[in-house]
Amino acid sequence: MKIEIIDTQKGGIHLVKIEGRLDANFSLQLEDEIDKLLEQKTKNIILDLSGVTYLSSSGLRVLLSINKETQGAGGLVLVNPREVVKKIIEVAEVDDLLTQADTVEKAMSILESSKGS
Amino acid sequence: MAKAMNIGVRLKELRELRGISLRKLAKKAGVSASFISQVEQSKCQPSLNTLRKISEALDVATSYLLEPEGNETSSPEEAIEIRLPNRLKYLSILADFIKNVCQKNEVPVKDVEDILLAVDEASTNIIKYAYEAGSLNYFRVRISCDPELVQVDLLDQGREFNPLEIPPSPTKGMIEEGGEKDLSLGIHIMKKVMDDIHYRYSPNEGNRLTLVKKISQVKGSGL
Repeated sequence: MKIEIIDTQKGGIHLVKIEGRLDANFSLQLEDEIDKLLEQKTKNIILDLSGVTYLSSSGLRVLLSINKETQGAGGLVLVNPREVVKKIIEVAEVDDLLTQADTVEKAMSILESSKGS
Repeated sequence: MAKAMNIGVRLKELRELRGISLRKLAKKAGVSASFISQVEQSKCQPSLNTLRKISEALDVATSYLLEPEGNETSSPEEAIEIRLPNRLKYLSILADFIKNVCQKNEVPVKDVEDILLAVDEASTNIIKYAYEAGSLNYFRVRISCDPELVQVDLLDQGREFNPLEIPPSPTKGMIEEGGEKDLSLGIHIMKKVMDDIHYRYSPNEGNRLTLVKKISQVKGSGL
């Protein structure tokens, strides 16, 4: 699995591109990488999941934990998850907890509009 | 789910297993090669006497050629097995293996996705919790496919543990980290995507978790 952190120009929103399998073997690596970003005061994170080929409960748990961390200090948006990823989010019944968007641009506007609320 | 095999099919299978050519078998049994070929193609039926000669030439009991498999196995068809160390890095290899077998058996994509998810969850649990942390141990995953279902058995010799006994908690509560609460989300997912799950423990075999997925009948006329 590859993780690429791209800092955007717009007000402290971190764009993280993830590629490959997000199973138990890789979820810890993701958690460690994102934890570094979460140390900042504003926690706005966009996870581009278009390249994620598989997500298991371990990966999902990391996403949920990141989501929880950003509450009140920013937000988390998942961008363009594949069908197989959407499926596990639905099966686990957490689709109402996780914000999803089709594109990075839409994700940015979601985060920008919720800032200061 | 074992199909009733006819003599011709079984004969061919057995001949190939023994690695005997049509000519050699024919010579040993005292019949012509073309006759054996015809039997294998179900184009003619050998007499009992001839059958006996062919069985002897193949070194099997005559009844073996005549009767369909009736032995009790827990898998419906032939099973393929992989044996893995209890290390998370092998999860992707396991996934490739399961996917390969399913694809060779033309299992529909949606079913394969479900099977992969359940197998991944089950094997993650084994790797993380079945054995003492850090110790090197192995577990086995067997898969068998027939036209109606796919069955996957996960076998390990770790501590006796029935994942089905983990009480289902409301999803939001599964977010907590640590210990057995870690398991409930994965198990919840497994139960949802598979059609049937059994667990059995025995002192010599250890833990056996059986996952069954009924194959969705996508093709079919008149539907």
